[in-house]
Amino acid sequence: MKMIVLPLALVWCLLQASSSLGCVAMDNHQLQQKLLDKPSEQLVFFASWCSSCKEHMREDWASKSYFLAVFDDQAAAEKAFRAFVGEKNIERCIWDKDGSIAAFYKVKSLPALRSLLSK
Amino acid sequence: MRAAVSKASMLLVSVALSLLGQRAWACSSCGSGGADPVILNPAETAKFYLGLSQQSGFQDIDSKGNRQKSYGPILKQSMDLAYAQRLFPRIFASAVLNSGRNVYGSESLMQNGDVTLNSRTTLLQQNMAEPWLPQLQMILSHRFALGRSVYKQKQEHFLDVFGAGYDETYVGADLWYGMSFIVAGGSLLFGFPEAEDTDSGSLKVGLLQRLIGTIGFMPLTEAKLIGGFIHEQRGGSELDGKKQTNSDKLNHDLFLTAETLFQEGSNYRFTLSKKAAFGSNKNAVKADLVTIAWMVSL
Repeated sequence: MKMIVLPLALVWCLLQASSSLGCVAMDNHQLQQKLLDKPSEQLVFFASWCSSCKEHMREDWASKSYFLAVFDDQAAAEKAFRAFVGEKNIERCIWDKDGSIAAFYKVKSLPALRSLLSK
Repeated sequence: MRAAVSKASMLLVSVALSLLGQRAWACSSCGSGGADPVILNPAETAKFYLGLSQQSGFQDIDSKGNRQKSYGPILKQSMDLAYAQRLFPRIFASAVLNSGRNVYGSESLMQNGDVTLNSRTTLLQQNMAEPWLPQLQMILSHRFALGRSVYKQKQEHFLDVFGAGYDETYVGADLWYGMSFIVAGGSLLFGFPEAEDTDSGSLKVGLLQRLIGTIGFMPLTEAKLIGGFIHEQRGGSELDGKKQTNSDKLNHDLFLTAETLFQEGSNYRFTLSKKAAFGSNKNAVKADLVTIAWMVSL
């Protein structure tokens, strides 16, 4: 029994670890909660298939931005994020898992920016 | 000399502007007229399409490739209404309704044509991190032969012919490189026609093979200019199980399409096509086609 359970537990742990290292899947409710806990200056919306989004995927924006992958696969978005913003900033990457974030911020075209600074 | 310098500078400007080309959506058959006309980009959930086209300059090409004066209409105008709906993140479907107007001399006739249902499945999506990997879509379509065809026509000069005359299912793949400043791709479609009862007997036309090659660039951030060819080959027909000699078809078309790529609001597509324009053509119709299309994302 141990022969089966231990490898399965190991695989489960690895999967959990790898998912926590990628773009975090969130809906809008979870994002709003995160913004209350850890505020940021702006939201950068991107998708891996939108190459013009590269202009906004800047490493020097990582400290002041959350990067939101919308209309995209989670794995594809992570690949694009790592390539342009960098592995070390991966905690700034959020994947819109149900389209509710794009809908809330009325994102219909990409790339898109939304400032969170109060006017 | 001045003309050469002017041409060279225009080319340089075009290349410089084309460096702004940037989005992966669209496909190799988009705007070719050889496949489903309305395409959804990954951020779109639904789209409405209206296409108006006009064909003229008809010449019939026989089984030996000789051109002859066309017996059919001198002008064919048609209107395509299409609606595309995303079903899943990587799958969308569209329906295309066609109606047309045929003109010969002072006579003209308007009728509905065939209806097509299409679906596209994106098997591989382009990624800005790996621009060398193409977009790959699988195409599945079915044309319902609702319009009156050449096999059931009653008017002189085929004035009442608006449909193909047989149902046909299409299966194919569309490969597209849309991330670089030069965009290019190719589609391969196979058509599987169904037998149709005609006055002469049960007719089954041959299998279809259609190859579309496309290359182009983006002269502006929100515009695409592409050109390409369509190679189309269809096997010979069978009437009541008997092969009809010299009934196989061969077509080589050219097309040039300019299209806007705005992400919000309306988009426009303008296409010039020359049917049976180059190479060998058999049992084909030579014609010039102009299409103007308007699309709006819903």
